[in-house]
Amino acid sequence: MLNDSTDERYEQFVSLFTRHEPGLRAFVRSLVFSWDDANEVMQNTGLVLWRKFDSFDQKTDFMRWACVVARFEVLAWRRDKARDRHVFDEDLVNLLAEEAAEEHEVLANERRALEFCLRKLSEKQRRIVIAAYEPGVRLNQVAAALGKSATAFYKTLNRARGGLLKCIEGQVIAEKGDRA
Amino acid sequence: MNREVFDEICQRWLNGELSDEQFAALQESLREKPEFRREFIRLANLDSGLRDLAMVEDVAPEVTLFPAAKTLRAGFLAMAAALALLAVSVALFLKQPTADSVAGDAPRTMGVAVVTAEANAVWEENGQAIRKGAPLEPGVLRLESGLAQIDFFGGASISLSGPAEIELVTRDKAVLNHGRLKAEVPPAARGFEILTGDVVLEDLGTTFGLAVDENVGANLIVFDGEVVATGRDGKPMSLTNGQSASLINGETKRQPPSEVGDFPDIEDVFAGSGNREDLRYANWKEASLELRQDPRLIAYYDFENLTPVSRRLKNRAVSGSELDGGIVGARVAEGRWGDKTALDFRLEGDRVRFDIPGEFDGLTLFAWVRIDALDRHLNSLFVTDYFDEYEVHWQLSGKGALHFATSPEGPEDIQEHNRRYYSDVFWDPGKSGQWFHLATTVRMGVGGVTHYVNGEAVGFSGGTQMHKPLARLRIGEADLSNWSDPIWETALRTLNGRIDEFAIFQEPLSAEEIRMIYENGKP
Repeated sequence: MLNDSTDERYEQFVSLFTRHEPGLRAFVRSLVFSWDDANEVMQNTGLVLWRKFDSFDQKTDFMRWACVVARFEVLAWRRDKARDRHVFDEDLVNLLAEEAAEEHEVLANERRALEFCLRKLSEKQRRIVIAAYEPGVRLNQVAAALGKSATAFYKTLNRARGGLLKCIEGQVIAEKGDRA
Repeated sequence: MNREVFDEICQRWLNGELSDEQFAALQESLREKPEFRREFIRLANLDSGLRDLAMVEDVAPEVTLFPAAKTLRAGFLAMAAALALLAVSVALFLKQPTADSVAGDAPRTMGVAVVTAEANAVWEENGQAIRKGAPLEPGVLRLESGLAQIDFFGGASISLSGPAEIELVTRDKAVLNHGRLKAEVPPAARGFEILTGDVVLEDLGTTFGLAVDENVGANLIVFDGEVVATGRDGKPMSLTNGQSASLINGETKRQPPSEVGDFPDIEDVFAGSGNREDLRYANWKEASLELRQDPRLIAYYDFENLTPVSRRLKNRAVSGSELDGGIVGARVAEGRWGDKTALDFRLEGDRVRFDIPGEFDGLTLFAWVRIDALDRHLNSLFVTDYFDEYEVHWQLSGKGALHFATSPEGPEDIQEHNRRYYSDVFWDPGKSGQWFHLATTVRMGVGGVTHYVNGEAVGFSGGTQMHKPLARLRIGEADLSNWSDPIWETALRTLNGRIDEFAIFQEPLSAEEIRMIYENGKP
């Protein structure tokens, strides 16, 4: 049964977790092969974070702490799955995890810029990107629903991602410039 | 691994398309290069960010679902997102009924052939109505008198002289009960069969004449190519150039060609009608049948026999139906001659869609075009989707020049790389409604582009980077008279006019060849 202080603690956790969940999910995404894998790891990670939340020092960076926990979850998960085809080696997971955690603030800026950049795409590209990223859809089905060949669809999607990356880069540099 | 390959593999990773080898290569390159890891992390971040946004994105005004959903739980978000996807698809179909709907939603007829030309033809009125241009279903046709040209959908064409009775069986098969016909069978229609009382003629790509008299029997003459005649005895007899045979009681016997008499063909049909326009049309038709056999053709569209329900623009070159175009929006209209069909382009959605694979060292594009107005800064003749590297854009400038562009870098740094070639201005509004033969030949290297108007090479009135060499060329997904997937959202390139013939060759044709094509096709 939850007492008042547990209640309060829980609220703190939810607030921190909600705020950092997108960054954490992006972090996990860079360590595993597919979205299904990322979702699986994220579920476990959420649970573990809550279970260990007592050991989290509130004066430190939640995101850094969460990244460490998530990294271990990825490693544990990959040991179960190591016989599957597409799982990164342990040392590569560690490398990527360190570098992604290091960059987490930059990456958060980039995700913020993304919202702006998505609106800069042509309407057609934007619709295709949004349709492709709906949860649970399969890309070939989306292509079929839009009446496009898979090749044409991937081509547009790849082009849109390229455009987004370029736009994001411009935005992030512009923001830095503003501050300077 | 270089940067380009790495990017390609990353895109495949995001699309869930990686092979085992590619996954291994990805892992290898990530281990080795910090800059690849950085790029990879950024891409994963983008991928993840897009996923978050897709959950809450208002994709269209009509799907502003539950604005409060952003604060609700994920399950509800997913549901809202699923609804949004549904709405997106619907919206896309409603707003762009034009793009990409290649190959036939239009009602299919059971047609196997079509009458494409007549001279004093009188048909016996029973069964299906026979109208020039209307598809004919399997069944018996009786021509009481006069001459008629019938094109089979399989590609063969016959000139039938009345009185005659012919039964259309399939798009590649007919039975001549009596009368005379001359058949023209291009290589693409090889295997076309004509049966008489008891002989089967299999055409192996040729021109031949056949006369059937119910009481006497049949006479066959091969003008060109090879025909295999098989009688009731089952023994095939091969006949080639100039050879003749009689087919009596199921037996095939060779005979001197003088026995068989005359066979009127399409040109005689029109000579009979004495009409200059029809003669020009017939002249073009003959040249067109010849042209479609040119092995240098990538694709050839003669725009013949289009009906209001046609949704397929047939490729008549030997490369075949894979390269058929999908007609979108554009309406069937009169072409260079009264009996020739064309497509009329006018509205924003009008276009013909193509998907033409391959890379080419050279190209020739030609089209017969009636320009009604040049409304835009650039007006599309044949424009590939977007403008990826090596792709070609063939257009008309608003000032009245022919314009060809390609770039080895695609749209990246257009000023620096895009090769553009404007011809001398040849069109002004006073020429509205006239038919023009427009051609551009291209070969790799420097100075490889030549524009032609009505069979004559014309000079350049301007361009960019014309001194730089051209690389190989690509087409891929492309539009006739429009631009799907433009680089700039607002770009509108719809042609205002008509096209009734279009060809793509994988080599630059000579000036003399272009001139001949013009001469054979001028109205």
